[in-house]
Amino acid sequence: MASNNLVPVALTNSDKNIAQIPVQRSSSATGEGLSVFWNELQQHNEHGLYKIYHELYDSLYHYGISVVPDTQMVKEGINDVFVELWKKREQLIMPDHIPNYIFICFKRRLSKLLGKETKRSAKYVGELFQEPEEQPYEAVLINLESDGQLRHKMENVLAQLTARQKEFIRLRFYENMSMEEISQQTAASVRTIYNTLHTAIVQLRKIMSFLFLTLMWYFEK
Amino acid sequence: MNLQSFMAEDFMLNDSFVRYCLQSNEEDVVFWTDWIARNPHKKAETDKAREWVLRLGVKLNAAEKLEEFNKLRAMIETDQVITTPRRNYMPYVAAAVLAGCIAFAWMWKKQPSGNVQVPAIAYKTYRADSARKQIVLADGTTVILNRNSVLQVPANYNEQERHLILSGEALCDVQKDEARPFTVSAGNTRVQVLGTVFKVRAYLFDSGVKVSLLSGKVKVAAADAARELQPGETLEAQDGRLIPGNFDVAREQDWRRGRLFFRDASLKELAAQLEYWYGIKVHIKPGNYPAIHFNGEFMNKSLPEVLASISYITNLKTVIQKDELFINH
Repeated sequence: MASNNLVPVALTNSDKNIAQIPVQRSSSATGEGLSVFWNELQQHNEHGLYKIYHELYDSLYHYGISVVPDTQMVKEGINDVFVELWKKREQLIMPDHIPNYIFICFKRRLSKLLGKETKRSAKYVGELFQEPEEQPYEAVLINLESDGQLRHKMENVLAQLTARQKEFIRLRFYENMSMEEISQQTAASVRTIYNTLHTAIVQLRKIMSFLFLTLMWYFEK
Repeated sequence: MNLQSFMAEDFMLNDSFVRYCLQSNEEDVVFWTDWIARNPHKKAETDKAREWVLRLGVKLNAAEKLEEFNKLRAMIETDQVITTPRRNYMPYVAAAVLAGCIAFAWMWKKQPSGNVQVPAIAYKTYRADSARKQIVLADGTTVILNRNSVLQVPANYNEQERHLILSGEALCDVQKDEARPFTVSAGNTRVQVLGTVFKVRAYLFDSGVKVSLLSGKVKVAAADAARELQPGETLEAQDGRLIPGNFDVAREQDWRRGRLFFRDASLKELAAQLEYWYGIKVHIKPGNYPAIHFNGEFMNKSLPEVLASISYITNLKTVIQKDELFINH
């Protein structure tokens, strides 16, 4: 599928096959809920667009970061998609599933931005993709630290955590599941999950204060 | 559950606190904003906890998100005003004469006692009813139109001159263009500008028209007087006279950013701030009220959202009737 058409008027079947919905469970963004906003958008009301933007932002950002460890590029990509939607509002047909549709547009956008980047630097060589690959949570956390020293510390601390601790952290904070939901999924008791997370976070605190000081320093600057 | 003994990890494992960090529940946001304001000695721990909730969740914080959202808005609203006219209130194909009549009818209704002149040209009308609106005009001038305000832009805006008609409140960031003078009129008061940032407040429930100058230079003319304004100064036009004064620059900057802020606010301060912020007349019903110390911070929130939060914390009751706000206990 050509990626030059960023916001297609309608999805082809091949598009539908690659679509996955990484919309977070916390999000109230169901396809039906968003269709009201979509109608507003088509009636030239920018607030409809803004509501869709707020509903989907976290999910899009989340996904973007797991594919491209570059916050600037991800943020730009999201805004590009919405500007494009606004420009084409008169031609667009209401998609079957709005989050899905926007998600595919975003994927194409990232893929295009990555293509440009590859030409300029060798940093992403080998990552020119058809279907971008999501990195595991641990790698995402490490890659997000742009400072080499912090990255190293983060790597060390994560290495000290057990697989179970990391899994609970991922489910609670990254997937935003409640303790009860984690309990249902993993068959551990809520008490156990709480205690395991507590120990893990205390361990994380070893680098917490260090990271926090660095952050404060960035703000002072 | 004793919050006073909480450390960062305990906050992080509190569901309500996580919802506050993610701003996914209004009540939790209000609760924690207030709690942290009242417990400044815990701020270091809550800051740490919030930082880590966002970091582990791979999320942007509210300020970063707002920055991105404002970029999007700037791109969309610029595009919209310059390339396609709004369709909300003016039929696309209406003849200029018809549009003139509508504008005239509106002015007649709003200002029955004013000297109304029949406009010979069409106006594009912008209304900010329930929420403020940002407008980018053809010359690049931006106008933040406060809630409950109407701005009329003549079709020939930016040809020989730039003239706007305002009812309500607007902050104008004017592009410098000495060849085309920029003026705003509100009732009988007229503000003339070069490149500046200024705000005009002219709600019908206020006693006069108030002009505040943030930067640059403006000249204000009322029926019987005219005066130049320096940055940081304000002029209030009442019955044809001009009364000078000063305003709080930090407060206007907050307003511009959309940041509504309460620190230890009493009932009276609360009411005054809401009236100022949302352009709505606020009445406090007489009675014995318990002492109120309200803390809170709102970024670009609508009046109903803010009222819901205030009622939740203070137990005050609020009701809006005929676009006036009544506070009751």
